[in-house]
Amino acid sequence: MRETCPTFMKTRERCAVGRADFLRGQPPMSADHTSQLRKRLRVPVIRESRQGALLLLPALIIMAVFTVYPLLDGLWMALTDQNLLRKTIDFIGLNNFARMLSDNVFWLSLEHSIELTSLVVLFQFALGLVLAWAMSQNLPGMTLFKSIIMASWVIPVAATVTMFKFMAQPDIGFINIVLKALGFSNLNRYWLGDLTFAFPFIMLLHLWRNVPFYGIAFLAAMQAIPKTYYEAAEIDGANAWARFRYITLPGIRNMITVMVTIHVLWTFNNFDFVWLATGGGPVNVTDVLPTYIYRQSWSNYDLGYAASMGTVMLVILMIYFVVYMRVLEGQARS
Amino acid sequence: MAGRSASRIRTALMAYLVVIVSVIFFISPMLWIGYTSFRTQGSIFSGQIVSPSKEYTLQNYVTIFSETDFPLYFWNSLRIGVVITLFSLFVSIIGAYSLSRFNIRWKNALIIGIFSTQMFPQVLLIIPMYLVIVDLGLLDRVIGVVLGQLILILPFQIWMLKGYFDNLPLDLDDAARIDGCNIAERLLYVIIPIAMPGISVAAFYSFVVSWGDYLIVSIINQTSRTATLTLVMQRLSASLLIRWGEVAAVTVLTIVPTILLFSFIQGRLVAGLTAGAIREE
Amino acid sequence: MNKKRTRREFMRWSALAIGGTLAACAPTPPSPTAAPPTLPTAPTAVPTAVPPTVVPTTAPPVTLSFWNMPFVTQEVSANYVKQWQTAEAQALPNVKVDPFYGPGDYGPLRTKYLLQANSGTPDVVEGLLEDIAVYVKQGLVEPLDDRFNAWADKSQFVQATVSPLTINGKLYAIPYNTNARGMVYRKDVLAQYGLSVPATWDDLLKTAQTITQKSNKQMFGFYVCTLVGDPRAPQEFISWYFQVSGGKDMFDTSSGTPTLVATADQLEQVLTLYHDLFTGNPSACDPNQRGTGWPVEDPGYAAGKWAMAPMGPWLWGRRSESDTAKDILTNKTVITQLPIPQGGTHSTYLEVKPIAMNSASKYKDAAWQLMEFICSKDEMGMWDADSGGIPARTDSLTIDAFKGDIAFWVQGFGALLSQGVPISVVNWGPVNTANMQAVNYVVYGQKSPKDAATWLIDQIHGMEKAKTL
Repeated sequence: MRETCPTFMKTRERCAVGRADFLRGQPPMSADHTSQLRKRLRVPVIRESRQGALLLLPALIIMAVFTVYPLLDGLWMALTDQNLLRKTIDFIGLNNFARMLSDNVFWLSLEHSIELTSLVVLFQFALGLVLAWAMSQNLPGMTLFKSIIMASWVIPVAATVTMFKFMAQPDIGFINIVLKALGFSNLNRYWLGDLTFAFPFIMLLHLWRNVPFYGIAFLAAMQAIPKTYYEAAEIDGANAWARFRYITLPGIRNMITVMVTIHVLWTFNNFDFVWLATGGGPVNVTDVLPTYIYRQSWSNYDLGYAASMGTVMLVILMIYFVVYMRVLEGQARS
Repeated sequence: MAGRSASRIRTALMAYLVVIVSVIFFISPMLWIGYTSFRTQGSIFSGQIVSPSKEYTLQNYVTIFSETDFPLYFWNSLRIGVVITLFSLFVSIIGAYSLSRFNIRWKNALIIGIFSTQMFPQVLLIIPMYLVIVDLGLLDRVIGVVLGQLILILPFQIWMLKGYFDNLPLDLDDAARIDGCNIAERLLYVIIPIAMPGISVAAFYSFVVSWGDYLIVSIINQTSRTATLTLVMQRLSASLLIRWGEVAAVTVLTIVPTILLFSFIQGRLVAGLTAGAIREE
Repeated sequence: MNKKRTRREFMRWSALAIGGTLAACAPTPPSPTAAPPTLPTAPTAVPTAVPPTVVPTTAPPVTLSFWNMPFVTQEVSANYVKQWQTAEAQALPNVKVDPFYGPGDYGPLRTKYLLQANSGTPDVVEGLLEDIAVYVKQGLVEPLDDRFNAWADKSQFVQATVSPLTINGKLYAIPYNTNARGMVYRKDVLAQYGLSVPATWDDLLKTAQTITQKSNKQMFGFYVCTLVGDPRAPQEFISWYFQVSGGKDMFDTSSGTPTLVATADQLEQVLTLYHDLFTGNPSACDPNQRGTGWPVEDPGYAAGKWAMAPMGPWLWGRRSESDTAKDILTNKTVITQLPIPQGGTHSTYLEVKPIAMNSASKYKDAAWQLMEFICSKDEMGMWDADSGGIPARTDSLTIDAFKGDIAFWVQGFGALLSQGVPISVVNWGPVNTANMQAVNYVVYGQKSPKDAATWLIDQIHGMEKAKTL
């Protein structure tokens, strides 16, 4: 006999019990336990399951319409000569891809994309670890520091770029003012217009935005490692570096995987930073695939060609994803 | 013993060094742009860090408010942000709950599928997505912008919430179910109240992403109905390139709401964002 | 009891959510709703008979959108925009204009228009002569012959400004502004260093370098736009090219499809000028300003950062920026023609800025009313006086705003109009991108002018083959 749903108050009480258990550190149950429970209660399974699947439907529909379908359309566009100015669309097979092979700017952008992504993620990882280590020390003022450090992640990318563009201005930019004060006034220049320094500057923008995120995430993961491990290691005579290498790093391995994966995807696909800061210039030194694709679409109106390069981007990321998953599986098994 | 405390001092010093460098590096650009927004054109171009006191002014803000339709754009950004937060939370909560609690066929494939949509390059999707929005008749409408921006938000949000829900023990659900609550009641009365910290982080995430989005809004917008701050900031800073004082003022006004929200949420930001990634051993 | 309570709670939450969403989606000012079309497909047949009379103002109120660059980029002052809005509301009470005037600079404006025009928004669009050519090819602007011919003010328009907008025998836009590219220089600076006004490219280089040196790089001698995607940069480029080619365009369009007639030698000559302007120590132009465009050129001159620059009358609008700007523009500037190379001619880019009507607009009659208002004697005059342009109507020059300080300015630029050469009907977007890419290769020292010229010719040949011109 199905009782009526309890009042809100009673439910909250019951929740409080569960919550207290939870906070006391009882491990969560697995899904198998649920099915056993269900058998005990003799609650019908199928109806719930179907309802549960229905809950996922809105998300799936939205993604199908606004992500999957456009993607398929985009892949199709890559095989045509679709142009913003031409009425007719012809199927041209792999011609766009052939054209890509002899396009110098494409290879340059590809090189920059890969360089940017790998360097940025590497530095973010290293600096994030350093930051996390510092924050894990129990020192006065750390709480305040922890609470303000992620501010750089929340502000809009357009605002970040504007700030740094201003700081990079010749004569009046903060960077150049400081250099002048330190006696290096011969280094005064527009940093984003400089052939050598524009690319590192873009890397700097990525680091500025994301390193705190890494730091905080690693810190959270570090704090989940039981202290007993460290105590045991200290008793065994391991120094700080060895403790770090053999306890901390493996302990946060899951978080490392997540952060690296997400940021490789985000950095490789990122368009705003480079476009708003330099537009890909000067003379293509900061050109990455997303900005080149954007220019092909909107300045040259060549949608088919742009789509074919977008396809290449997707394929690269898919390869990365698959390879990375295999590597992880291999690690997990060992 | 003396060696122990010496190394502890050394550790503390190194940690403080990192803190100081970090504060200088991560916080000072924002302070600098805020400082610049209160300076006159002349004092900015003098290249000095400090100027005589009469060269500080509120004029930049006055100009922004009187000469541009700033309040309209602010309101548009806010409106779009709130709508998309409500909408995406609704879709993500039920989606994440479903993925977390139910044995759906092809569940793993769906999870990987949802997560992997983050792989899709935005620049590739933008024109086909524009065509879909036009076909739905949603060009230059708030809902059009919302649906377009959802693709930026949903994958990460669902993944985040699923991780958070996974860490909530199943006996909560089962206890409620024994009492006869159906799915909706369970969600509404049990899960959501407990998951509030994680949900507030998810809400924060979607608002911030929407607030800062440029590419999608620029494609769908046509008139003042959907003109947002990022759009206008981009437009302004291209033309006011030398009027850095006013550019600084607009930047500050764009940053302040997100920083405010951040200050409310920052205590739980970490736990919420990383819930899916920390597995308790 | 509890079930009912649950359901009520549920209803309340859902109502809130739905209500909130609806409230958020409720359109604020009534805007033209878009019919959902796709990307431009087959060109629709050009509409023929258009009622020449204007709909009486008792028609129901409509809201139009008007995209233009000057309102949005402070080329006209904010005060002028406010005054324009008030005047428009008074003159056309049934026609409201959306206060969001478009995506901004001409590049974004053009690409957005190309993508979205068939949705009916914007109704009226401003642009560059280059843009109209592309719009016409895509069938995105409405022919205006009948309406224009029926307009009483038609005779006031300078014929030389209307002809470039007549394409394939039909008029596709009304001009509101015209100018020919010239050069401004600081007479006080030249006098201070005992220099004379440069008449040739060699003179220009020498004079500019001297100024840079003698002012210890506080003021550079010259400035040119080199930003890829900037609207001004290719106009300066084509001005130099016209001088070399004797007033002939880069393309021959007599056969219908554009063919490239510019030679590698001609392009090399132009690119060498760009190269020379940035080399040498001291150089004529500031190397730190490589890759910048009009948003730097104009305020820079008005702030005294360079002594000479290729320029048009719009600079006048900068007087309000600062006391220095006012002083420089009113008292210290002289207008002259651009220096020419050995054996070159005095030909320069003729700018005619058009106002056009979207061929998909839902309110064509109201849009025409708006266009008549924008190009009326007083409104055109005040717009051009505020931004410093030369009106396309002769009677606009008689309004009060043109008396006083601005008189010498308009006269100086007016004298150059005879040198102006209008560009041909070509899809200039990709061509200009390629032109400026070549300039960038040269000023950043990545290619020699000869190689860059060859590269440029190859690029344009590729466009010819792909039929994107």
